Amino acid sequence: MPIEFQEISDGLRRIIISGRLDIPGTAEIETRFAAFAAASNLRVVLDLTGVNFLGSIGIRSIIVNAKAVKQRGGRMVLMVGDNAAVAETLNSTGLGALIPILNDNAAAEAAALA
Amino acid sequence: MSAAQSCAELAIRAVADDVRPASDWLAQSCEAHGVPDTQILRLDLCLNEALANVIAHGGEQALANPVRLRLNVTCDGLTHQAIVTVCDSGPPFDTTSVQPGALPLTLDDAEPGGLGLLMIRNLSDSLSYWYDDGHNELAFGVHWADEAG
Repeated sequence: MPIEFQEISDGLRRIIISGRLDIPGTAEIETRFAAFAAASNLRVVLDLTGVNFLGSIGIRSIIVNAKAVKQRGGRMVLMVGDNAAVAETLNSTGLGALIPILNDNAAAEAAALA
Repeated sequence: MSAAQSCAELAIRAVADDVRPASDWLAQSCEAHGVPDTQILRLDLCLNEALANVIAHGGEQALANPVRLRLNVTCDGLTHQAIVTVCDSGPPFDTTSVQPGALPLTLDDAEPGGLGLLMIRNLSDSLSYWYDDGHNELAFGVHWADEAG
């Protein structure tokens, strides 16, 4: 289950997850996900364009880390690109009303820095 | 007109390690029976949530016995239907009777849990539950028309 991050600029980080965020997939990345999102005042674009399965356990992990980022003074936004299945899952569970969901990188970076 | 029907079955353990093999079985069985990819994903998400509930809340009885999975694919004229039944040995729990809680309005209010049942309800076209001979049987299904995918 791949997870990696890129420093876009000082204080702005893109975390990229791909594959299946099901029970075993989420268990495999959650420690690194938390570590990659752990910094004060960090702005995070969580790139989910390569996720082909998003279960509730994966959504739970996103919520936990988005709240942790916010509590440290930062902000997390979600980038889904043209991944309609993931966007639909996020919106159907109400997460879209809590964390901004964007379709392209520039908009996602701007929203993270807002 | 009677519906053409085909069926596949699998028994797994109620453990996280068996969830991915269950998904693989579902995908392969659905593909073999002509279920479109979009419908397979919906069934796979529901199966994942149903198994997560059994593993987390089924208790000792559920964990000590196999979870039986059954896929039924039917076609009645132009309408197709695929139904997955998950049978576990846990205490009676009617998934269909649980009312999902209100969605949180802010991230601060969001609790990281309780989404599985909501997802099953949102993703399935049919949902039924019965308790028979010491087993929970949860059946969720999807429908599609011949050309809709």
